[in-house]
Amino acid sequence: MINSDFRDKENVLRISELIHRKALGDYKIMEVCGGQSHSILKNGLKDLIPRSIEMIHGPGCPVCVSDENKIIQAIEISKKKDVVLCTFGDMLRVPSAIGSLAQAKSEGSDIRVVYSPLDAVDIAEQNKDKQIVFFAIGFETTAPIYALSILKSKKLKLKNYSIITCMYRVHKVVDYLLEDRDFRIDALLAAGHVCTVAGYKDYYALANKYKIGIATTGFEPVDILLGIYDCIEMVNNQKWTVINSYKRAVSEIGNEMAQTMLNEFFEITDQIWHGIGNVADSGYGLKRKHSEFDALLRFNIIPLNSFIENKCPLTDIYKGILKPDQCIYFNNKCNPTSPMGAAMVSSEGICSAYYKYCLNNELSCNN
Amino acid sequence: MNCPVTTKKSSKIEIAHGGGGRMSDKLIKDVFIRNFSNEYLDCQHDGAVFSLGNSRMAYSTDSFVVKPLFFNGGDIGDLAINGTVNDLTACGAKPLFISAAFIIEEGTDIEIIEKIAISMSKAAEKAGVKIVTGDTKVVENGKGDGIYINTSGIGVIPENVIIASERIKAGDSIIITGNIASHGMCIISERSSLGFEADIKSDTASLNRMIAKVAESVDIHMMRDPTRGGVSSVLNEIAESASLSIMIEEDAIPIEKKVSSFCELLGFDPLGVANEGIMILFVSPQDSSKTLEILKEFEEGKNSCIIGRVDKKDVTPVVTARTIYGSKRTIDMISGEQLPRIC
Repeated sequence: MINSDFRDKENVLRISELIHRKALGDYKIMEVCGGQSHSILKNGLKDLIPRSIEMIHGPGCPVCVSDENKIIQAIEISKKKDVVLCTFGDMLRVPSAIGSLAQAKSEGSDIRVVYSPLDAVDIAEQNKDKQIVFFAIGFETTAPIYALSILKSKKLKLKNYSIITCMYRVHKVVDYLLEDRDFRIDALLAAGHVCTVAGYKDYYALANKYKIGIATTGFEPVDILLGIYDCIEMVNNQKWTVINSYKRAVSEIGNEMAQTMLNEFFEITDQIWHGIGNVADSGYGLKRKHSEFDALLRFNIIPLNSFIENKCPLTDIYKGILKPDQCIYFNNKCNPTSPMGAAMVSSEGICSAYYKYCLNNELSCNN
Repeated sequence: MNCPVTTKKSSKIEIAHGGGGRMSDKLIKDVFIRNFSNEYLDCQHDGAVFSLGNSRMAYSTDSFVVKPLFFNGGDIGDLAINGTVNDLTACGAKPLFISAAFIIEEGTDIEIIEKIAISMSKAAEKAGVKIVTGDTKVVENGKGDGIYINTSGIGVIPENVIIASERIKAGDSIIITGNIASHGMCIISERSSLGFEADIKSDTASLNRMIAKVAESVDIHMMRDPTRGGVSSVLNEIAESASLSIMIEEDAIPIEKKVSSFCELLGFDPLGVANEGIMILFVSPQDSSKTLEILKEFEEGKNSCIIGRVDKKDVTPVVTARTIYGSKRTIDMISGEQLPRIC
């Protein structure tokens, strides 16, 4: 269907063969990003690596980890008069204790799917009689665009644009998961897109602390297999460092301009990760000097800061203790039409990937 | 704090209920089929097939709510004709008569209605069908999006043609008559404010003449036009009703480069995107080259190709794709809406 050098059959099969030759023992490798998990399952990459390599599907899907409290608050705000709540399409069907945004929409809330927060600023400019709220979910990758949307709104002197912040720092949660002494991995595929913004300097400390190999990795089949290959080399040589396997997009320091933008508007905060818990310094919140753009303050929403426990066993899945299709709810109580967790409906969610690419199939997504 | 929650059940219609995927399927089964159930409806084909005297007839209906009304390659008018013509065609019928009902919003320019009528008339002429009855209703300003159209149609099924999922056999070739995902991605490219033009043309076209020619010399076992829900939904529905697993070859699926790139950019799976001018046919392997030969004689069929084959009987039938690397994955039916209001 689509072809590029990074999907090229010959390249993929050549690296696959190299991996087979190098893989001497058992390896546990976590791919952090949900986009990588989907690429692995969609392209059947597990068929192309030895069975002795176990892929652990990490927490890098921003929709999946979004704090349920924030969804509840977003719904609450969307029900207010003359409010337009803008968000990314993937957030619509994420379940919460009071339903999903899609349900709120069907009950009359004006909820619009946009492709960029900047579109929401345009809506704000065109609808000055309404309050436009962006449900700002995402990782380091998306945060600078939220900063840009606030900057644009300031330049246009808009009084009707605000955001609900629900932003996450990926390497912090990886650190948090690895603190569990029972959870061991040998190597990590760091999320390529996040590293394009944040760089990979923070990962050296992780590699050293937990004695793991880390490869910054892209999303195409060739990228992923290259990342796996580099990880195996590091593990074989007991070299606990970071290799950049995604050189065409990532540099060690990342995108400094985006980081400056991010730091201008946001500060590091503690953050609740759905299915995981409260993780220190793992999120971004608006700086006090920009608090006028904080939708929760603007609409006097009571802060909800407690972790909502859910039956969805996401932490076990992120640690590889449980594969999605081994979850007791998978494909019975939890399915894409009535999900118990966001991972079943997000386009980067791991349960959605198992449902889409492995369901009822003789071949297994597990190796 | 430990506070286990139960998620709230949905009790209202969501946009995804109209998406042609799992949620639509559930609504249709739980509400409509449960209340209307009869031997014709329960077949759940694109139209109903029944006998009147010595003739076998097909009867089908479809409503069109596409936004925008005019798009690259067509408009709501020719879409409304081609949609019903193709649904009848998928039943194996030669479409004859079409009804057209219009729900028009107060304040809509009559010039727009006329433009749509002209386009319907041209599409009907091209397909060789007559628009023989109709209805017009007007709703208040703000209660509709310009115009909604419902068409229904009747056609006669030639004696030698029997289209049914039970006729599919293990080993059958699966043929697709053109590039996938063009219509859905055309609509989104016209609707979205991405700030760039994708220049994708809808594939809307009537397929009855081309399919009739195939049916003259080839025994088509089953066919469906993959509209909402796309190729993945149609293949899953057919696999389920025939209790047969299906294997498709990923690199055989025809798609225009700019369409696949656009899908990629927006995160759409092209297999789940709507089409309005292609058909999926199931034929015996020995008939496949003859089928392709005939299809390729037509402009609408020039990109026809075999995309896979029917595998084996299965209690839980599954649609599998072989990737270009030789690995395998499941092709699932889309669950929510990939994109609302596309037809």
